[in-house]
Amino acid sequence: MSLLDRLMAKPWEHAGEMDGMHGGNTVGRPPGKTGLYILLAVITSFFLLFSVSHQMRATYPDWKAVAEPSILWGNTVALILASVFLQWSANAARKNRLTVMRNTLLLAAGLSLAFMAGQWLAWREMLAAGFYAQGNPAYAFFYLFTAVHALHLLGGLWFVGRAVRTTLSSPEDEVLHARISLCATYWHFLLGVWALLFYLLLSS
Amino acid sequence: MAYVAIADRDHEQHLHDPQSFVTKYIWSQDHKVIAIQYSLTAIAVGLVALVLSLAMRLQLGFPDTFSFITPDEYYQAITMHGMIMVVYLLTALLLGGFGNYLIPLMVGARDMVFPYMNMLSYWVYLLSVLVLCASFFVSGGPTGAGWTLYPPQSILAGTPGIGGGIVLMLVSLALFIVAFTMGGLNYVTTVLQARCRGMTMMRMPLSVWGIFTATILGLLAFPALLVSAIMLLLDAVVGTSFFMPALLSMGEESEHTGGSPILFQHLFWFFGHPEVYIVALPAFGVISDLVSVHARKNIFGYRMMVWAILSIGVISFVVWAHHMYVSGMNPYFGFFFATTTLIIAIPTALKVYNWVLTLWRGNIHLTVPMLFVIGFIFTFINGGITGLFLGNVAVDMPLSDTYFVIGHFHMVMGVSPILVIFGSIYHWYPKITGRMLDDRLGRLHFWCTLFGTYAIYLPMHYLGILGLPRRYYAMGDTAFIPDSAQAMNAGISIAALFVAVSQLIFLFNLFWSRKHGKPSGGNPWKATSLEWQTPQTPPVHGNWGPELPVVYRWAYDYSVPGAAQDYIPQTMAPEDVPTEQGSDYDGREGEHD
Repeated sequence: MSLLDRLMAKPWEHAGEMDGMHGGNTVGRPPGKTGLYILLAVITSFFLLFSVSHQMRATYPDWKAVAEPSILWGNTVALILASVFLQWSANAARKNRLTVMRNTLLLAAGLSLAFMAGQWLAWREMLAAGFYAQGNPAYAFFYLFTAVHALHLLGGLWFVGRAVRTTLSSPEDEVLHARISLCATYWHFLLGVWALLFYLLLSS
Repeated sequence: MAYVAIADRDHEQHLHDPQSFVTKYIWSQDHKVIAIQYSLTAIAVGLVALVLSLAMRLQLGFPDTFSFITPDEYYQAITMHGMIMVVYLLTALLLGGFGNYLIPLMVGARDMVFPYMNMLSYWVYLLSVLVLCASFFVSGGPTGAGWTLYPPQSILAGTPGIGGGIVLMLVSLALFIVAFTMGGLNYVTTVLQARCRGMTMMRMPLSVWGIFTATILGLLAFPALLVSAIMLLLDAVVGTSFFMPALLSMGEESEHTGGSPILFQHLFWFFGHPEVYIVALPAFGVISDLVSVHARKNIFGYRMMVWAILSIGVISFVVWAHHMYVSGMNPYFGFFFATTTLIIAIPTALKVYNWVLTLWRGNIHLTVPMLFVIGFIFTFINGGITGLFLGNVAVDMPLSDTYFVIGHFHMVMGVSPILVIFGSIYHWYPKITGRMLDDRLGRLHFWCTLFGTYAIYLPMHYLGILGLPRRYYAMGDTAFIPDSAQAMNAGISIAALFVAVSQLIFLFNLFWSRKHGKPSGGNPWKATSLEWQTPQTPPVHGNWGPELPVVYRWAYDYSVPGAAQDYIPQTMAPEDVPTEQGSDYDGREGEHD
C-alpha cells in the first residue's frame, strides 16, 4: 500500500478490519536502519546548510580563493577504499564468510584512520603556509568543513571499533552483521558528503 | 507468519528492565520516567524564565521605582527569558515530555525503539540546561544579545555577556540540538516501526500525528541553528568572519573582514519559523484529542486534520523570511514570503474550524481540560489574526519594532501552547499518577491564567499601534508616548505579577494531589485511545502486561448511534461492543461522516 493510499484511508469506516498488511511497521526494514536513514536526513540538512552558507559567503568581495593541499586527493582515495571495503565486509557477513568479513572490516577501519591522519596533515600544510582561519573566510571554511566531516567520521569509527571487537569474540552474531551493514551505509553517505565538500572547496 | 510486535521480538525483550532504584528512576530507560524527567526539568527552568520576565515587567511598569535591574541586566533577562521559554521549556516539554509519555502508549508500544539513546537524550538535555544556567555565574553574566543572537552586536563590546555568556549560550544550544536529535530519532522511528497490531497510520490519535510531524520539522530545522551557532562561536572565539562584517567598534577597527550578518538571520529563521510549528503542531494534535474526549464527539474532519498538519509542516519551511522584512530585503522576496505566510494560514484555519465544528452540538463537558481547550481556541484565533497583520510587508514595517509584535507573539506562541500544556496536564495527570487534580483549584487556576494573560497581552497590541517601541529599558520623556501609555504599562506589569502568582495554585495542586487527590481509576474521562486502556494505572514498565493490545478502530468513536455507551475503546472488537436494545448497530461503522 502506498503512502498516499495510507493517508487517504477513512478510519471511521470498517472498524474491526485489519488491512492485512499492517504488522506494526510502516516500512519493511529493521528499526535500526530506519533510525539511520532518519539520522542521515538530519546530517544532510546540516551539511546542505553549511554548503549554502559557503556559497553565499563566497560571493562577498573579501573572499580569496585558496589552493587546497594536494594530499586531499590521496585522502579521498583512502575514503573511497574504506567505503568499498566496508561494503565488502557487509556482503561477506550476509554470506557468512566470517574471515573475509573481519579482514575487510579491519582494512576499512585502517583506511578511515589513514583518511583522518591525511586530513590532519592537510591542516598542518595549510597552517604552515600561513592560511589561518581568521585570515579569510575561504580558509575558515576549509577548516570548518574538514573538521565537521572528521567529527562525523569519528562517530562512525566508534561503531566500527565496537564491530571489530565483536568480530573477535562472536563473529557469527547476527546483530553484528546488521551493524556492519549500517556502518557501510553510513560510510557511503559520508563519502558522498566529502565529495560535495571537496567539490565546494575546489570550486571556490 | 504470526504477527510479533517489534518490542516482543527475541532480543528486544527485557533489554532494559530496571533492576534498582537508580536504573528505575535516575538512569532510567523507561519512556514514562524519561518523560517526567524532561517535564520537571523544563518546568523548573521555565520558572527561572518566568522570574526573569517579572524583573523586566517591574522595570517597565515602574521605571523610577526599582533599582535592582540595570540596563545590562534587563537585556540579559530578555535574552534568557526568550531562549529558555522557546527552546528549553516549550520544545523540551512538548516533545521530550509529552512525546516521550504519549507516543509509545498511544501507538501500543512497550517503549521507544532505542531506549538507551532516549535516556542519553534526557541527560544531554539536562547538561544543556546546566551549561545555559552556568552563564548566570560567569564573569559578565549571560548574554544580553536578544534571544535571536543577531551578530554583529551579539559578540561586540558593549553587549552584555560577550565573554563567557555568549559562548555558554552557543555551546548549550549545540548540546540541546544533540539531545533533541537523539530523542527525535526515537519518536519518529517508534511511530513508523513499533505500532501495535491494527494501529494503522490513519488510526493514530492526532496527538501522535502532531508530535510526529513536529519532530520531523525539528530534525530538519535544528541543524540550521546548529550551523549558525557553530559559525557564530568561531567568529566570537577564533576571530573568523563568517557573519562579522568589517566595522569600527568603540572607535577601533575590528579584526573582522566583511562577513554577512544577513546570512546569520537567514540561518536563524530557517530554524526559527519551523520552531513555531515545532511547538504548535503537538499543541494542535493534543487539542484535537482533548476537544473530542470532552465534547464526547468524534473529531470533525480527521483526515483533513492529518493533511493540514502535514501541509503546515511542509509550508513552514518556506515562510522564514517574514521575520526579516525590516532587514532591507528585496521587495519581491518580501512579496514571496508574504504570500507563503498567507497560504500557511489556510490549513491552520481549517484546524480551527474543525475544532469549533467538533464542539458544535457536542455533549460538551466543561471539565478543567475543556476550559483550557476553549481558552486555547480563543487565544489562538486572536494570535493568528494579528499574525495576518504582521505577515504583510507594508503592515509589518511600522509595527515590527513595537509592542504589537510582543502581543502577537505571546498570544500565539506563549499563551496558546501554555494553555494546551495546562489542559494536557489536567487531562493526563490521572494516567500518570492514578489521581485526579483538584477540580476547584483547577478552575481557579484557569480563570486567573486566562484573564490575567489577556490583561497582559491585549493592551500590548494597542501600545504597539501607538508606536511604543519594544526592547527599551525605559521610555524616558519620549514626546509621542502619552502618560496613559505608561499607566497601561504599569497595569500590564500588575497583571503579569498576578498571573505569575496564580501559577502557585497550579504547582500546589500538582504536588498536593499526588498524595491527596481523588483516585482516578484507569479511565476517568471515558476516553477511547490506547493510553487509557493499560492494565495498570499508572502504567508499569512495558506498559501492556504479557500481551500487546490489538486495535480495531480509530481513536474517535464517541457517541456512536446504536452503541450502548458513549465511547468505544480502540481495543474493543466489533462483536464485543454493547449495543442499545433494538439497535441494528453491529459495532463496525458509525455515522461519523
